[in-house]
Amino acid sequence: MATLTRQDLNFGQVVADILCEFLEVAIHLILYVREVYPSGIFQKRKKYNVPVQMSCHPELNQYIQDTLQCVKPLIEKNEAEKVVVVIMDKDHHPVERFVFEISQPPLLSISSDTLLSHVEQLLRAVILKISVCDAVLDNNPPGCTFTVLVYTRESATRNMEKVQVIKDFPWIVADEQEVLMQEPRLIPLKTMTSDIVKMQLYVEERAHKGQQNVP
Amino acid sequence: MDVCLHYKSDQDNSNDLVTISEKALEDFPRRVLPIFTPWFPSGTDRSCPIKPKKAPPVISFNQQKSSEFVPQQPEFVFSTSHCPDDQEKFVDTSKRKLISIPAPADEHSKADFENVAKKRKRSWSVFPPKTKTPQRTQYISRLFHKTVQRYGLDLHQRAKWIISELNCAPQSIEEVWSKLSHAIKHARLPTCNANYQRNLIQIWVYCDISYCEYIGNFLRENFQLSGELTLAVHKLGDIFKL
Repeated sequence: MATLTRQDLNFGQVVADILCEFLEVAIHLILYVREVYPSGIFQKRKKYNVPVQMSCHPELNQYIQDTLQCVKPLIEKNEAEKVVVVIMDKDHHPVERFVFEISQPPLLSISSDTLLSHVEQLLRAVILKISVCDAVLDNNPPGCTFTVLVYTRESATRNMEKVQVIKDFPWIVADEQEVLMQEPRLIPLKTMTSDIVKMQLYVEERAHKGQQNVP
Repeated sequence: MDVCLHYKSDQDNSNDLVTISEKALEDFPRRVLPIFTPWFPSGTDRSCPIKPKKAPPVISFNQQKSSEFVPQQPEFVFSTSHCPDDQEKFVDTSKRKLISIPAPADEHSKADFENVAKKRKRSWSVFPPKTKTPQRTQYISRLFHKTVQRYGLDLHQRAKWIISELNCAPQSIEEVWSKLSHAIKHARLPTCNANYQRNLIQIWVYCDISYCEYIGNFLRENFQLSGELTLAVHKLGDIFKL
């Protein structure tokens, strides 16, 4: 088993590729499972050897791709601490937050022959948890929308430049209203530990979804 | 509280010692410290996440209801340039659903279009480019509108036109696929992506319900397709024939 640093073989890029691909699948699935968009715009696909739902709407797909393309450089440099898919009600108050907490080890102990298949198995388990998470979550109010928040390890303003990868896709610091949730219920979904990345996924759910969140 | 003062016996100035002790027991003068405000990046800033400024697209569930499906007042200008005449005749204004479609680039003649298509690299799947093309307007015929209502379809729902080998005759399906790939890559077919199902000898052209009729007519006219084209929707199966 070899010990490598993050610079060796550009592992940051490999991790970013794997995670962004996973996040794309996860975001599509969350939007389907939590009924943020009509089920008619989704079609069944296969990823990580399990069935997943993927949007077929070009505008939505482009939005998700643009978002992740901007997040990628932060993951590559290990500067993204959390990527959060926030589902908001009509008044743009969060009702659910799917939190992907990411941690990458500075030193990598890798046995390359089993690495990718092992990571795929772990990611598959996370996807399967997302696909059944509606069983432990309350129904969302109608007219929900979503946004993706990125928590950085350093100052958000410092990292602002790094995410502006696409010209027509600017990033801003999120409003407090979109971030804060009063007394959320915490639902742990899955943790995974691999040689190249550690990740935990949990959901923060607003206690009374029908009522407005007053921060 | 009792205070005991111990002093050396040779010191006789006991009064002074008492005064010194009293002073030592007095409260220290205190001042209120100003609140520390960091001038650059603060902890608060660190905890603030970032997000895309642009909001994600909104696709309403309510559009399935017929009352919202048909707009109360026309919002766009009609264009009949891409509509067959027979459709234009029977479509009542109140029943028209106006949608936008990108205009095909005029400079692309059919011959040019075919030549370029032959040189294109083959692929099993094709997607439109990201760039937006100028917009024109189109409507849905009454017949198709009824189909949409009957099945309770969303205007943004995806449907697929199935082009079989029989539709392509006398051309080969490969030729049609090549032309179609070129058209999609040049944004001539709005909201479309397509797959070539070689095992089934079929081409599946996916598009939004709102553009289906326009796409169907475009395919038939521009690729000289014959016979009936079938429109299928996931779970419902075949819903319309053109």
